[in-house]
Amino acid sequence: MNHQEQARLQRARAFDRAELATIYDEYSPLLYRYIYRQVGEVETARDVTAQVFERFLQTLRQGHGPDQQLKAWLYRTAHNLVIDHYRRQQHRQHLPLDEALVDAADDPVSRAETRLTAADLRSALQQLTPDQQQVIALKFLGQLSNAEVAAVLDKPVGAVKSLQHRALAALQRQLVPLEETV
Amino acid sequence: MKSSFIDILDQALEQRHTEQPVSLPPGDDPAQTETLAALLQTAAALDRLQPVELPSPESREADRAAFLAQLDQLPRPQAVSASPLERLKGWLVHHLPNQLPSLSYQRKEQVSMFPLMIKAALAFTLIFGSMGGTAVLAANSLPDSPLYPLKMTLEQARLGLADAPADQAALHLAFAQERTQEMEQLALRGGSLEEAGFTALQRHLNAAFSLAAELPETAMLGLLSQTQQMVQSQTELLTQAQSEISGPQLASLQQASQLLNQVGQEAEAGLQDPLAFRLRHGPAAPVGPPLSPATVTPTPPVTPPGPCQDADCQPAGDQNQNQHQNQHQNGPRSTITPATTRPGPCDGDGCEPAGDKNQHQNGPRASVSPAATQTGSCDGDDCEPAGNQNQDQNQNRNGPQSTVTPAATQTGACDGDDCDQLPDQDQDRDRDRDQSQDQDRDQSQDHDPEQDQDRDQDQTQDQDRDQDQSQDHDPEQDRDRDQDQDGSGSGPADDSGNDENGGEANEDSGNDDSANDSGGSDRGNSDSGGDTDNDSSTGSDSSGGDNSNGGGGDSGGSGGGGGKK
Repeated sequence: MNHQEQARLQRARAFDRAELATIYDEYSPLLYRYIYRQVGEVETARDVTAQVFERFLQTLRQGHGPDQQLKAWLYRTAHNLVIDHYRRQQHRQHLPLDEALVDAADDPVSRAETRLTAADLRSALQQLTPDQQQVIALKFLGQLSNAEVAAVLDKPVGAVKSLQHRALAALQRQLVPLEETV
Repeated sequence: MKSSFIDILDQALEQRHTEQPVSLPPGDDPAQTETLAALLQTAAALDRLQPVELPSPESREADRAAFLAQLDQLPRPQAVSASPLERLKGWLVHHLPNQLPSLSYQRKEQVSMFPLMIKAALAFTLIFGSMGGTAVLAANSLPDSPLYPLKMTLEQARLGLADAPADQAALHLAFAQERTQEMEQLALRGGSLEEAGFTALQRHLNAAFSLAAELPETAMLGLLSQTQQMVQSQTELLTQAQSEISGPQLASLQQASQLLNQVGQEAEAGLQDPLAFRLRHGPAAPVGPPLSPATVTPTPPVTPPGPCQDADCQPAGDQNQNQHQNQHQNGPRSTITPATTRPGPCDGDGCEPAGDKNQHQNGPRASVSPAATQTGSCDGDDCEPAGNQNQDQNQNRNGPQSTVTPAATQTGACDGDDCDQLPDQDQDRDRDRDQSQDQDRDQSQDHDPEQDQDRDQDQTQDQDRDQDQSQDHDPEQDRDRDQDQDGSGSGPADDSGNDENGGEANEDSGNDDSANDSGGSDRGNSDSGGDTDNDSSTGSDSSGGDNSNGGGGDSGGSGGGGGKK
């Protein structure tokens, strides 16, 4: 952890208002996207994101909180809260994808393909192990680096790469027969 | 190779957003290229789903304001009083200024207390905490770490501090698990797996079994159950790791997996027949090579069993097939090495030349020379005392019978190193057989099933057959007769018998990550998630219960029907 990160966490523990606001501005959009891709709803994603930062403040108040990597801590907390959300909702799917996801291209054909792919991806992702799903969510949907994913999952980078490989291979196996029917 | 493909894939994923073309190593396998392309295509499908529905700017602003309001409402951390050291110093200076002049000495320069406190804390930590910290670091070290010897020392210390055998056995089990995990982590990291790690694993498992055999039954069964659980979890771990690696590390992990399979089967056998387990692993068991898996490595050196002096001795054979069937799946009881070994000299009346045409599934009794298959008296190195043909069939699947050194005498006095202590039924049979045997029994026109069993132990089938032709029997008849003797009637079991590759079935079951749906919410608030691939693994539990019927029953030759996995 570099000196800047240390200083930042030190100020956060001291409840430096400006620092905490900066942290919020920097990480809330990233966390929102990460959570949204797992819950699929705007309002739910906003609520869970708010819970992440609420928990962040609570742990700081108690003298705990992240000692080193703030980003990893926040993503890990977000992941746990998503799980809690599903427990409350009694959802079994770990990583549902909203079928109404809008593709970058606004073409109806592309949009239809996206919906089909999203539904297929959701089904395929549900076949993965929880670790694999997390790697997919963090790496591909959350745009985290290998090192950051490793910090969130508390695994070595090599294991993250292996999980990434296995997850993609498993997804590919699931999607190939579906693509052939499209 | 596999680890490099993983790196190539990762690099390609990093480059896919850049203008740089994905570069593959020279001489790359076209199949690998094709696989890489397919995976990149899948990643691209994920990329297309990136855009999300963002909240409105007003909503974002409202959320930010709510966060700041929450921040403002929280009470700030309160200032604490001076540190205890400071307070003590101030008190001493106040009350004892003359007695402690140094404390009241006014420095010319004001020295900040904070750095001083830090230095004191560092010194204290270095002196008293480094050991603990080092120990903590050492606890997680791998064999290629400089702290690993310290880890071993600490483990030895823990063993030394454990007084009760049950505690020691549990520690050995824990250390065996640790060795397995070290191998797994080292393999995944790409490190080289030294033979010492595997040897240490063997040593701990053997020690655990030896100690368990001395425990009261309840404690022993508990430990064996623990062993099964450990074996299952570690086998799953190794299976998972094997799918990620290749090369020499793969062979090492396979070897470890096979050892664990054997251990699991042995534990299962122990649970079903505690008495036999004690005989195999208890203090009365002869010292011999440790448990070892069906070898992945080249054949170990031959270790001849000791001489068998007594007519009742059956050094290289096991009357109780049920007892030892499991043992001999991947290596018979603890004294058996997987390699082919020469039977020791046998010059008792009960001796028979070694050799069994049905026995040498994977490891023939290499020591038996064709010339030694003469029936009748046998006093050469290739002799093998009387043993059960059917037993040998299973015994020698991965480790020939000839290496078995029985733990205790069966009937009467058996003072050879390789004497076996057998259940009464088997002892009776042996006694009967021995009584009916003489040096010329194989040459006799009248033969009985037991004689045939003995005869069939000869390594060279043709010679046996030739000899037997005059006696009007053939191997097929012998096999059938043997099976009939046991009442099992399982014809082909002699050859197929126990699945020496039982462990492999387990390896396949847990590898398919995609088959598992753990439901992330089930993991609760675990930060690290945790890979639930292990859920579907069937572990290494032996299902071959029929092979471990400790009562021995009719162990003569139940065709190795053990449904071993």
